Amino acid sequence: MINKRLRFDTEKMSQKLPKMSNFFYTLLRTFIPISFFNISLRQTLWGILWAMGISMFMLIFLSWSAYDRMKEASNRIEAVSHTYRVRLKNKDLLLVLEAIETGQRGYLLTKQEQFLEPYANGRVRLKAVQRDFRLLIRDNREQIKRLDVLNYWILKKITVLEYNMERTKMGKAVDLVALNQSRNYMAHIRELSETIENIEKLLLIQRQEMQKKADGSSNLYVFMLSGVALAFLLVFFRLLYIELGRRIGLQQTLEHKLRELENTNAELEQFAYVASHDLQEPLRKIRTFGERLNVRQADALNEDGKMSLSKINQSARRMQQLIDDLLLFSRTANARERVFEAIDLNEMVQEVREELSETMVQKNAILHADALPTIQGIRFQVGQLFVNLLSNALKYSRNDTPPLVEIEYEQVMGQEIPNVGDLQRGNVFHRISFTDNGIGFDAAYSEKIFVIFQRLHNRSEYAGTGIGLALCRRVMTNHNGFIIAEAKPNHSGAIFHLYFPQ
Amino acid sequence: MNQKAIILIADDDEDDCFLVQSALEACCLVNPTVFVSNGLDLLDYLRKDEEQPVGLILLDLNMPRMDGREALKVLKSDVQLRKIPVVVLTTSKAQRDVDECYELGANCYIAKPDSFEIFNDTISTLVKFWINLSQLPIVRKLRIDD
Repeated sequence: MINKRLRFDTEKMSQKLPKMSNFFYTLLRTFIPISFFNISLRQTLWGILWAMGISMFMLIFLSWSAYDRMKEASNRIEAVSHTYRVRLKNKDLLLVLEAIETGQRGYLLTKQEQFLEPYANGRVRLKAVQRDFRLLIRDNREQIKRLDVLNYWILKKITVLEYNMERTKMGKAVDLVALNQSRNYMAHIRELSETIENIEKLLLIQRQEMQKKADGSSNLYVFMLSGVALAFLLVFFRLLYIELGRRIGLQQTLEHKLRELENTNAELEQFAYVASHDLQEPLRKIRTFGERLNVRQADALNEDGKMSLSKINQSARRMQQLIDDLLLFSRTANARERVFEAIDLNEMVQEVREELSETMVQKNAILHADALPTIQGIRFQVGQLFVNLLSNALKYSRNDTPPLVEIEYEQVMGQEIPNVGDLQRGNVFHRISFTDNGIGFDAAYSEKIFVIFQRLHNRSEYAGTGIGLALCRRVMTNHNGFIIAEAKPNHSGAIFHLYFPQ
Repeated sequence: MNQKAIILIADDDEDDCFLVQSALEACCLVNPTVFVSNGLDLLDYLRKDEEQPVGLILLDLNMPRMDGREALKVLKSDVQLRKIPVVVLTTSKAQRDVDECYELGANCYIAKPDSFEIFNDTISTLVKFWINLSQLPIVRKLRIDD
């Protein structure tokens, strides 16, 4: 029933929205129908949390993977450029070797010292190039092996070149065998260098292809993830929207109820005024003229007439009492001057004890009270409350036992109060319990006794209109508290628990 | 001197008027009594050119047309009429009404007792105090020219 009403309010709210957002809302409603969320408030809240959490997680994951992808890409670019550098070094190596050989040949042919210089320079550069080359490919074991073999052939070639140079220096003819060998070595070197070059080329192609592939697949991946994150965000938004709608509907209902309540209150006050004046007026007349008749015409009346007149007067007095009590109740309910002040309940008990001391002495009553707290309250009303509870305990005592009243105090959580609302469960309350050893009451009536003018006993047994406990409940309501009646078993007494919010 | 003063009773309730009348009779009052049923009539009577001065006003609060509070306000702001003692005799026991009436200048506030006998006693006490014990002022009537 309530759900239906709330949903109705949600739909109504969407009609009030401006056109643009209404369009989006309709779109959203088509994709995520409301029947999807035919769930309780608690579930909705969990749904909001989950949807929010998942989309947040996805977004974090997306950012992380984007960063990762960028890092990978730069790694791949680095790898490609590395390959180019390796290939350049490889070429360098050959060029330097060729330069060395050219220098050697020039010396062999001309026997001029000036050709030794490029040769010597070449040797130095060769060393550097070899070192750099090794450094560049140090992470590739295969290539390092090939470079080792290459270096071996280079060493051999250099040895042969050196040998022929020594011979020339000593004036001997060039060793043709060595020359031939040198050419052979060079062929080996070229071959190996080419192998290294080819393998690097292959690596480059492989890496480029890998990058292309990675780009394609990770794009799809990112799109999918974004889609899912977006979907969860939409669900989150929709849930939030529904919840907001519910709240707005609820608020409107509450405001409406509040207005109704204010009207009712005003009417009640009016009613109380009417009761106090217009109803009392004729009643006063009945009483006055009834008594006048009694005083002036008593002799003229026979016994039956006197009896009837006495009944009329009695009923009028009772009616007066009822109206007075009703007025007291309505004044308590609509108290204009609700000034909350700190009230020391220990003092309050003392005051009440003094007020009722006559009855207590008369009945031999004993009153024990714990150390009680200081509460925020309306002094007059709390006084009324304590007087009512204590005088009740004295009134409904057993004839054979003197009344024993105990006032106990404990701090409790709201959840210990029977039938308390959800919102109050976590709050801390002062519990003040009035326990007596009187006649008690039937547990079945533990609620009924708080209804105004409800009585459990005949008027001839116990006097009163039945306003006392109704007033007590009213006072507790004014203090945002509760009063609960508990019957001790076997009619061995009653306990009244007062719960004042802390 | 007091015996000639008029006691003016303003009350719209005939029964109450009757009760007051009979209570006054019961305590052998010789003063003339005049009954009016609302504030306007009360002021009219006071401003009429009469031989006998009004010595005491018994005023009910809830009356039609002009109620007791308004009448009290007018009475106590009139230079001449403010001399006349006003006893508010009403049903209301509300402290708010009591305070308001004294604020407006009422000389006495009495809630009508519920019981017939106490009612008679009250009126009797009232007469004893205001007529027998107190000295009442002499109010010169103002001639109203218009």
